[in-house]
Amino acid sequence: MLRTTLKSINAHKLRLVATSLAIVVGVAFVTGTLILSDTLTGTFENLFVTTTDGVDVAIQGPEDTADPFTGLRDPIPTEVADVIAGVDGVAAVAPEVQGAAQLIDADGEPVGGAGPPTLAYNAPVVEELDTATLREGRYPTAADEIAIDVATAEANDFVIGDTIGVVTEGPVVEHRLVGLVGFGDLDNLAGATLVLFEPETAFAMFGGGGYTSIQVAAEDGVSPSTLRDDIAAAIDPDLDVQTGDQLAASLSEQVTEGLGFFTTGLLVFAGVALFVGAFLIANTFSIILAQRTRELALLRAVGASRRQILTSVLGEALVTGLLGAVIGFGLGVALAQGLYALLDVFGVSLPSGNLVVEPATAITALLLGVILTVAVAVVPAARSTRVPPVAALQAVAAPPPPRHGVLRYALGGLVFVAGVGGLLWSITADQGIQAVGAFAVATLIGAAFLAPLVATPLLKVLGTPLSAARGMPGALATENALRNPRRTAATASALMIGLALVSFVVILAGSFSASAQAAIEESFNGDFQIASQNFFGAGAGPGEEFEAEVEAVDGVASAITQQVGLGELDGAEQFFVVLPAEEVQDALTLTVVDGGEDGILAGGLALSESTADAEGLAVGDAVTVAFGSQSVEVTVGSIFQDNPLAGGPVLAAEVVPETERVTFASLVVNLADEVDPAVARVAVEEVLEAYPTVVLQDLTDIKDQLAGQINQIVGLMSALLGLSVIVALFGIVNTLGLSVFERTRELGLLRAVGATRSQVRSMIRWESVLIALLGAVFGLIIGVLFAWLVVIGLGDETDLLRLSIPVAPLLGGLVGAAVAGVLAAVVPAFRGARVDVLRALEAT
Amino acid sequence: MNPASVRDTSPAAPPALAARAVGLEKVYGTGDTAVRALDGVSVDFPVGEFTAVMGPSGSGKSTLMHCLAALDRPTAGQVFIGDTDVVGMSDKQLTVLRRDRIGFVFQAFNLLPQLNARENMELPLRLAGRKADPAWFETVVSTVGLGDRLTHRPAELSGGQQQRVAVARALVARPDIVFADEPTGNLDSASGEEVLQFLRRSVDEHGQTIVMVTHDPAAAGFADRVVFLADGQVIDEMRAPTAELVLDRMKALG
Repeated sequence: MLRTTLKSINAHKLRLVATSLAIVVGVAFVTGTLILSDTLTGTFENLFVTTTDGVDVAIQGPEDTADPFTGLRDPIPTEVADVIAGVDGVAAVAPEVQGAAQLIDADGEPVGGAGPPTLAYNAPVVEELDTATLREGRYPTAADEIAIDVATAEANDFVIGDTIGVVTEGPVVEHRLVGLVGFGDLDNLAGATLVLFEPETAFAMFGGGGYTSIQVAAEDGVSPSTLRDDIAAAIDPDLDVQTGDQLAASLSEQVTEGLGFFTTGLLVFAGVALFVGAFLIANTFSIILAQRTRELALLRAVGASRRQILTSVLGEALVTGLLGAVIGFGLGVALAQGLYALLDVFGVSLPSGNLVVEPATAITALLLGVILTVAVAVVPAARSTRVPPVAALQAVAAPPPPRHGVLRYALGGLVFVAGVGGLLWSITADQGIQAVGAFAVATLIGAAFLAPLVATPLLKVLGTPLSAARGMPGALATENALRNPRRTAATASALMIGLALVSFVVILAGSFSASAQAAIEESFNGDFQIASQNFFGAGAGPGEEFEAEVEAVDGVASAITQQVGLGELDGAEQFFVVLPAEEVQDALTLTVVDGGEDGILAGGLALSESTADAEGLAVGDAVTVAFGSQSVEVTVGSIFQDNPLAGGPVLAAEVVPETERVTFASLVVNLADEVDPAVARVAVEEVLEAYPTVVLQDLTDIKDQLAGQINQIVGLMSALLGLSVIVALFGIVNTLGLSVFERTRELGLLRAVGATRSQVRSMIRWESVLIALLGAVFGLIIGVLFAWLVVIGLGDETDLLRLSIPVAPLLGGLVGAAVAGVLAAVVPAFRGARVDVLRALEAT
Repeated sequence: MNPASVRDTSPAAPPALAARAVGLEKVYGTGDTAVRALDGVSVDFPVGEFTAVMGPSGSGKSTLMHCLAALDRPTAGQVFIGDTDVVGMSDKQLTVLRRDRIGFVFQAFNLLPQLNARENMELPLRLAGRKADPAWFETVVSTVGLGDRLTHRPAELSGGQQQRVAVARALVARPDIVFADEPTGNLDSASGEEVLQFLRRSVDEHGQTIVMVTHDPAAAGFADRVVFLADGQVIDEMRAPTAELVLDRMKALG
């Protein structure tokens, strides 16, 4: 029996490869991602072991005070350094501060734009505790000198001796470049730009309440762990004391975690591709086994048992899966190399070193491919064992399509309804992304089960204009697609998955964009805003003089600084908007629903309705607002309708405690009456020349920026989901190829009675287009459904998010699907048109 | 009755020919393994005549039909449909020739399963982007006796009905010539006789030219003339055949 299996595989090598392709893409991406992740972890660990070489003990602020955005902890009081210096066994103590500094390039633009973090440190105080690697020049020794990372210098053609503008706080200040640094053999750290200042200057600028960290070198013969314990005993127990090795490990973990979004994201898309691949394998095996009915029946007739048939079919699945997994693994290694190069292109300097291919990665890839393929082949394989031996004697070239099973549709309907219900529940009740994903998968599977039911009427609708426009080939294409609705629908369903997710992303992003733009228009009160281009203001701000400087411009009536900060409201993490109490309404239109008789921010705090509901707070309640270790007691003064510019708590600037966590977000500018905005804009922009990290925007600019950012995300996600669409196209190629094979005789007849080759090609091409369009329509329907569920799931309490369907891109998707259908048909159509008439007619 | 064949009528050579083969040769393979399926066949098919081609297995009768019907290319010799020289035509020209001027009835699998009887009958016309002449279509349908089965798909028709649809398809486009390859080979004798009678009537009533390959003497008995083939050569001809005469002749051929 094994020999029969192998012979069968050998006889259909092409089919085997085509089927294997369905899982190659998914396995390749899983492999590539795992290798990349292992490689990053391994090389960064090595790197930090090198760079922290001289550090025996490191002290950082309390671990639980880390800012989720920047990772910065509360500062260590400066006197702690003196205490440590007095501990027995300490040879040297080097305090370090971290801040933000934005380099300005020759054109006056911020280096790196709004992209990577802009880190600043003091130059090393103690040479042996230097965590950077000086590559060229020297460390800064004067207030107007800096050293920067090699990668930034190279990207901007900065050389030692250049004068470079730097923004830390306030206007641009010119500095002289005196040194270039790297980290071990790296030119930068995970893509961040780095500026080192002379130590005393740095302490004065970024010190705030103290140091970010303190590095300690031990005397000879003192073990790092002993010294760590001794130091820990001598200082505030909340402070985080680690040995140098521990520091290296945690630093490496931070960097790889920072790149983790990349690997996690890739794994999700790999999962989608595998899901689509599984669909295709199930479908291909169903078709192949249906075509082999006579062969299987003959085997049964000559004495093969059902178990032997099952083993044989599953054996073929095993070989298919193994082949796909091996090819996928090979491509995955290449992909990891490519992704590594891609990170480099994005300016993330990576440690040199070989790819780390763990045996576990290879095993994962192989098992994934094999188990997935065999698992989905089980159902068609089990069905194939029920072929009666007598079928061998019946002259059926192609078996009749399976009947519509009531059970199948009942089950499919149940899964679909459960998926939709679960989705709504998991979104409304905020059950997390895993739950949402699981229910989305259930919905898609349910939809695929139900698809044949909808396919027939839909194909008839699509086929009517096709037959009218394309004559007989069009009519035949429609009829062929209709012959086995289950096969057509299963092939289309694979395409549905990718397109459902793409259209979901497009619709949701479109809805969000449209709703947010409308709301911004409603609630933005200024004539302009001058906004920080750093993510959440985590970077160099324009400083305290800025507001006054803008306010002094002719025609400007008022300028209101708006700050943001991540803090805690009675222990719950919240994103705070901070505005001066008296000027809130000049910056934002807040519709008060409760309280506010003495001013919106009377008491220091106003809450949006959703936040008040979620936290169970009402007007007059006393609450604690904390930023790291700094906190303040305030009273809820009012509750307002949710607003895209202020979705959570709004805090009065007057009550904000001294903290680095609240940073500049924007300056809202109101013009005096009868001032021409164009004229005022020119005047304000003159002031802004000294502040390159902020940008002046009017209402249109704000909306355009928002739309642009959203489109970028949509583009990236669509590109990655495009992978699964490509996998689905392989599925169409496969199904059409098998159909052409199955219909050889009909093709011969058609050619004999006068169908030209181009008519045969046209027929196959249009069938492909119909399948693709069917998948696209399914995908659009599910995509709209998903988006609608999210909108009603999230937007129940507020009407901030309204469903808005961007018609043009979705129509574009339909056209794209049709074009893809044409492409998928190229090879099957070529083969179909080449059918030898006489041989086809003689075939039995 | 057919303009194309009327035109090539010349005073010197009545009656007009619907098709003819001149010195036709067909060799399969090369060298030692070469098989000479047709070895210099010359035969005429006059307009309005029902010709049966007979011969034992391997005599070359199917090859002759395939070459005449523009389904296969001869190794040497000429084939004319009307006055059109078929040899040397491109695949596209051959396809259009088959579509517009030739009708086919095969032994089995004559119909596309996804089309109903009417659609199958109209297939060659619709491939050409034309509509059937309604009066003629009615005539054909009523002759074949399929009036109430036009919307049935092949799977819902008996073998005899399927073959009648196939014959109707061959006739609806009013081809110069119809080639039938063992049209009754898969039918029981009653159904087979129905089909043969229908072929006969289309010759008698509408002047259709038909060439039928068969090995069944009873079927050959419906023809106007029988051409006997053996070892790739025409060895005999018989006019006004009957089943008995044909059977005797076949026995004589061995």
